Amino acid sequence: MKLVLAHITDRPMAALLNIGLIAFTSALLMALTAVTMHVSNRFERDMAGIDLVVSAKGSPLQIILSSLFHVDAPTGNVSVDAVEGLMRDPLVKQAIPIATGDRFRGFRVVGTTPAYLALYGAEAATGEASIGEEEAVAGAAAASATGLQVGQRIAISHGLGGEDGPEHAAHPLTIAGVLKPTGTVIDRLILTNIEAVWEAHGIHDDHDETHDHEHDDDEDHAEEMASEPSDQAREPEYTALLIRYASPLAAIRLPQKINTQGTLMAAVPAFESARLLNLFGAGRETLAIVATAFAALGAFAIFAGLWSALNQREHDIALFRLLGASKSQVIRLLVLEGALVAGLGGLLGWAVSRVFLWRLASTVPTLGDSGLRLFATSSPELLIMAATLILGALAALPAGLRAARLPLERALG
Amino acid sequence: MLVLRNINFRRGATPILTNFNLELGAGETCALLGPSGVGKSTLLALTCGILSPDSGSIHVEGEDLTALSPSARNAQRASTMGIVFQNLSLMSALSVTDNLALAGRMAGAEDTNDSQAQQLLSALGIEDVAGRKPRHLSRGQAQRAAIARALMGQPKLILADEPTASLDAAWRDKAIACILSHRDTHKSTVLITTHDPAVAQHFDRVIELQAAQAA
Repeated sequence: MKLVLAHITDRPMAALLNIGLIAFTSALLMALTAVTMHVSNRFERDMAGIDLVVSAKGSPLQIILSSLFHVDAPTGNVSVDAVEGLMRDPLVKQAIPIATGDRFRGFRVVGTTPAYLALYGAEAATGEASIGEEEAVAGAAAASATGLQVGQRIAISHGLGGEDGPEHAAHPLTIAGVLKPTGTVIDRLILTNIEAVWEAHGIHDDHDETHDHEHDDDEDHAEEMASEPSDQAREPEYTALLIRYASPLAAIRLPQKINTQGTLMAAVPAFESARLLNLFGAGRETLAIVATAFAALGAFAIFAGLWSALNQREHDIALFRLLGASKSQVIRLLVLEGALVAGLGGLLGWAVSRVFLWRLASTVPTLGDSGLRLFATSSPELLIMAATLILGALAALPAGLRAARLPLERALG
Repeated sequence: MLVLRNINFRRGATPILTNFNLELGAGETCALLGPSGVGKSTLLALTCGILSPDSGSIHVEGEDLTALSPSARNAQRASTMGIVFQNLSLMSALSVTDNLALAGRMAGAEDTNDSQAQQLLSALGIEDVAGRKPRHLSRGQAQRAAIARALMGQPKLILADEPTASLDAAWRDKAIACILSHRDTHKSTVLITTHDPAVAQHFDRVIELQAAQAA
């Protein structure tokens, strides 16, 4: 090993070039893999238990992004009356309403029902996971960023984008609890009772009771909720309904049934997120191709570096053999050198990928807030590291085989 | 210890050695004297197995090198021989100390490496350049480092090709004294080539080679 290190440090610029190439390549591939896996896992967690999202007509992808992942503007609102029949539909096992359109210090405020908290397994870190009258709970990331504490009274602001809009100061909410991190979308939300959102917008619910709509066996509740993010409308409205199917048959019939209605649109999260990942995947594949090209270049650089260095080093190699080294030891010497250079490149690449992810998480808050773990290394990333080692060893093999065949007389002159 | 019997060797059509014979016992020293091109270096290269004779046999500690496989010959060389080449032959990527350590390790004498290396470097007056790589040594320092390297691992047979060619008279005598001291301590057999009669006079036997020698 000392001889291998001596050979590497004896040609520092060549070694640095090779290490840099491999580091760039592996950093690109590892960062891509980490982001893709994180986004994919995050989508799966955020979609857990939700089969269908129903909202106002528009882009289905926008419906999913705005109502499930809370990263886009909603397509509009739907009146409580328009979805009343849908909530009673026997194909629907559970329908959780949400009302969006407000925020607090940059974090979205979502009016909903306790079922929404249960859907994501929310538990209180401090206080209670309760959204009673004029109560709100803060997700872990939202509380951490805003400093929200139990008992604090807040005035939410109107609007989702840009600066916080006018405050609904007349309808303050009391923080009843701060939630434990869940690794889901609710970590960066502030959740409150849906009526509280309506009240903030001057809308008075004339429905009897508001909670999520769930069919248990033959029991058929008909409670309704509504939301009104827009001050112009006076009737309660929802931004979206998050629906769980009652049976597999619903997957076929329900979206079609909803989409034939005039004002509603059904978006299937699994389908839309797959579409989104495919769009993302096209860019990812391009980058992966570029990274692979660089990997090939890195391997070639190792091969060419060792091959050309062999001309200068053949005297050393012959002497090594004269001292008693076998041909296989000579091959191992060069293969180990190639693997070590590639391994150092891989390690450096891992470090660079972490810096890149850290910068990405800082630049894209959604990614940062969504629990992107900088120092967690996934199996595919470990495979990339292993692949760089193997690539380095394979690239060095031809030089090793050539070195082993060098005549011993080279040591004499 | 070393027996060369009826060695014949040609380069192309030119005979270099013809029916050459030599027998050296344990602890015996021998200097091959002669002008350049007479085959002194070739004889050493044959003795350590780098070259193979056209005919004849070379026995080292009873083993016929010409009958051994290349790997067995390598192992035999590593375990029994310390060699000084005319071109010095230090590993360019390693420091003087590391060159010595590698030679000791390859000879299977790791436990004595540090102390022995220090002693050799001191005896040859190059302890202050122990950390330098060969390219940062003068020719004389490199020659002494090559001698030190050859003595690592207590070889039974020391082969040295013009080991004092780059040394002044003072260091020449010290280098020869170091080799002979090693012989005294370890009962090593020593075979060197030289064109310098002042060097040859220190050895038990002196063989003067002539073109196409038949000794």
